[in-house]
Amino acid sequence: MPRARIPAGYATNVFINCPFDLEFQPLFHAIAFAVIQCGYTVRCALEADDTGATRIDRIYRLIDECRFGIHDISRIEHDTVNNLPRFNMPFELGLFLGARRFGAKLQRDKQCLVLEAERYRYQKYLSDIAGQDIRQHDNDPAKAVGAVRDWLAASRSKSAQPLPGATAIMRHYLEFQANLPAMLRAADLEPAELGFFDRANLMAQFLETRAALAV
Amino acid sequence: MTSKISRRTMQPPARPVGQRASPPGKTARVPAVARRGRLTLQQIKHAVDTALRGQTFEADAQG
Repeated sequence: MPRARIPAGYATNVFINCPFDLEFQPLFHAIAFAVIQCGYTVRCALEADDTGATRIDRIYRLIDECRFGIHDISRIEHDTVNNLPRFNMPFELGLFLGARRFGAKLQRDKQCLVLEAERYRYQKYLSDIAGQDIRQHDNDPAKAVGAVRDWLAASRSKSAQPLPGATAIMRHYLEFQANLPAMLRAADLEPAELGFFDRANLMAQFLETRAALAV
Repeated sequence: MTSKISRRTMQPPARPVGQRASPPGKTARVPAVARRGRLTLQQIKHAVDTALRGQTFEADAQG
């Protein structure tokens, strides 16, 4: 009998399911930085499609490959273009929970964090998720970082090395943000040209270099 | 001596691209990031090294 396939990096892959609009970017970038500094791998739907797969197939693959999922469902307002709500985030949260519930043995180990801007607001529009790990961030990147850090820390074994504190992560993130314009100049990139992977790789390299320069 | 070389491939176990060599933790600072992007790793390193040249940072307390 063939053994179940284990996706590469599954145990440390973190699927970030959140709005990608400009308004949410400060939270998205801070969350990604926290994930990276905690030693995990950021994955999200912004990854370039190099397979020709449809969007839903890419989402399936992402969820399959990630043990962890961070789902921000705070964007419930109508968008300014179509005056309609966006359902992608709660839909992908449902897929993630479905994989955990009905998936193979490996998938049943999935860990899920649900983020909302306001406490208990989800009860008015997505009450079925009551009982999940739901944290509020008040649209404050520092609070989102704290929620992500504490959730990742709670999933680790007692023998694992402790994660950096939320305050330290935020300090490093602000240092990264302050140095980002100089990094972009050195890379000959405009801010709008900085894609998901390059930003994540810059974050990773920044942390490595910063550690070497710390006194 | 115990060897982890695969009997099938006679190769050491491959670590997927971007996967960390050590478990996540405070001292293992190089995070795993899928190394796909517009910039090469050399360009990434050059950009960071250039931006941080001459700077020092506060060391973190050891946990």
